[in-house]
Amino acid sequence: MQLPTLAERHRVLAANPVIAANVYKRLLEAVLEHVVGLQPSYVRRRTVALGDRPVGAFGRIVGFAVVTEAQGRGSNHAHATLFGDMSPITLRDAIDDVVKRAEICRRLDCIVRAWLPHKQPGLLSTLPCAEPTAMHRDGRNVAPTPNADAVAFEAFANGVAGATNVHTHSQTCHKGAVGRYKCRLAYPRAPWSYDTTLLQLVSRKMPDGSVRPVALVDIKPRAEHDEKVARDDPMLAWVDERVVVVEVHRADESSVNHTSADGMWCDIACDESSKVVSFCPAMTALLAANTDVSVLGSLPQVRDVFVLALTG
Amino acid sequence: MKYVVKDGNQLANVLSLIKKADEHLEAHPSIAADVGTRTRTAQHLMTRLINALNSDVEISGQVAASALHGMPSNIFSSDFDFCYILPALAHVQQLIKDGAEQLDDDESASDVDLSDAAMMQLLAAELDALPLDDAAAGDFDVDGAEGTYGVAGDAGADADGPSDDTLFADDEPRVLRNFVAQHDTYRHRGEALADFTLYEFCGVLAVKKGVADSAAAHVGAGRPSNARFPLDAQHPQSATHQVVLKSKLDVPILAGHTVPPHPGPRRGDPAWRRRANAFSAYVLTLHAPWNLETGVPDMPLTFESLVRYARKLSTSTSYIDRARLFWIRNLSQVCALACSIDVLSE
Repeated sequence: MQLPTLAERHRVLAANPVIAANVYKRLLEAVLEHVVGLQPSYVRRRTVALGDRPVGAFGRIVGFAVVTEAQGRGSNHAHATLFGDMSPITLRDAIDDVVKRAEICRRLDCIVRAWLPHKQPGLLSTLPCAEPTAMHRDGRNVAPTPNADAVAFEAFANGVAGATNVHTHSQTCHKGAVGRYKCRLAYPRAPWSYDTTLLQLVSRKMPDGSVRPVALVDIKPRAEHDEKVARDDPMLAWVDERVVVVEVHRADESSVNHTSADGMWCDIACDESSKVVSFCPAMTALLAANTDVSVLGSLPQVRDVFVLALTG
Repeated sequence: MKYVVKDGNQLANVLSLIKKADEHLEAHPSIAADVGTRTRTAQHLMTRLINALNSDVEISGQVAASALHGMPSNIFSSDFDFCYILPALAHVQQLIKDGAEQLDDDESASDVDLSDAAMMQLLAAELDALPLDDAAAGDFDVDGAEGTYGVAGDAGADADGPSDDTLFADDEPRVLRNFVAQHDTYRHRGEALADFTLYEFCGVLAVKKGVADSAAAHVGAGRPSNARFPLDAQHPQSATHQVVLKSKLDVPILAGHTVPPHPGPRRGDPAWRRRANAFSAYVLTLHAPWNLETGVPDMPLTFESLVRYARKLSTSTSYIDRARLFWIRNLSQVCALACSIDVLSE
């Protein structure tokens, strides 16, 4: 069977919203069950014990919240917050231990990626199509099994990400107050030539009372004041003024050339990886679609994202 | 009255909406193929105007189809249930006050430790100052003599329990139903569930019809039924209902006002003390098991006893104790930021 042209497929999609909604529902439930490793509550009859839950693409998941929204063109898409076995509390407990920090970063590298091999070639579907079609747009192409052929799986995932996860500015980037003067999704982003690491955000209080982020630095020891508060009151053991940021490796083959003499990098305009939207290779390969995966480094971030997702 | 019956579709009454719709069109112009034509502009303006008049929004075909399929827009890994903490707190407050007054009246109670009596009176006075709705407890009283009983937790999200509408059956003539408050069910939960806290009780257990028979063993094929526990004999539903372990555990939602903030690092002034005791009473009522005899937690609801309780939990090897400490820290952490901002501004 020949795959119809993109315009024809769009016409079919627009004419059959019920089927599209059905496919979206089944796809979302399949992702939650098989990629995330936990079914939504409304399809389960009982709670699965934490130890019996499979380890999915994001680790062992404790809980999640998913919100469905409609895009400008009317298609459904989802925003999700996942609470895994590596929560911000785990990060907070581990940030003072260099060994644990390195282990966490290695684990994060398995989950999220923000770089692509240099000059990723666009892959075309080899199956019969009415017009040349990218591999990820032809649903008949199935991702190789990573256990059987890891190299082919990586190539497939990178090929999909190269086609779907490179940011291009659009009208969406310029919505709201922030969008008036810059891309509100903060692209292009500064590359990071080093391995994935945890850093501390340093902020400064401005004369007008606002707090402005200044720099990312190596994590400093916990403040003596916070230590004392935690000793005096076990309920405040999590009190920690340090804001931890997960800096994911974001560089391509040319990035090492940008490393400056002081050990840092820069020139975001010269690096293609600045526009890569971070993704989970496993989910990208399976869905063959655009996804944006970010790691939250602290409890306030979790709270803000959760409230934003539920209130719009 | 004139304003209420004003015809919303009279031209003079919708001028402001037309202006608003026109501004919206300028800010978000049409992207249709025939944009700029008079027909398209008029259609766009009228659509916007009708939507504004009826407070409607345009939704796509896929969203409508998803809704008709019964797909929830918000999907969670767990279900939620309401925990009516404020009526429970008011109930505990009332019992402690009654206990303190009884100690006052009973001059012959020579075996009562004077320090305990003083603590009870002090605490009763402090609890009086808590920002609670006193009516919250009164509405839940059950005479236990007659009528049909329901469970407050089934009635909805009202912080004070069931609304007036739920107090009546649909049948004519209207029959007054007697509801059992959630905290009354928890208080009379029975010996087998003595170690459960109110928070755990809401998330793990449910009250259902039937009488638990602890001696009955599972017979026949199929999955064994969930564990069932008899209610205490003093519970008004003990003859007809039982406590059942839920198959799907719920995440309790704390109904009512915002959680009292953690008071922050110790300061000792009256304002700090008041906030500390409000927080302690809330947390201990929620996360410390109530005594089956007295119906209140086995410790004074003061900040000092809360810190002692938290220290005990932090040194425990039990997962349940560590989970309780996690929840308490969660409440403290949520409030800590607000608290620190508050302290800075003082």
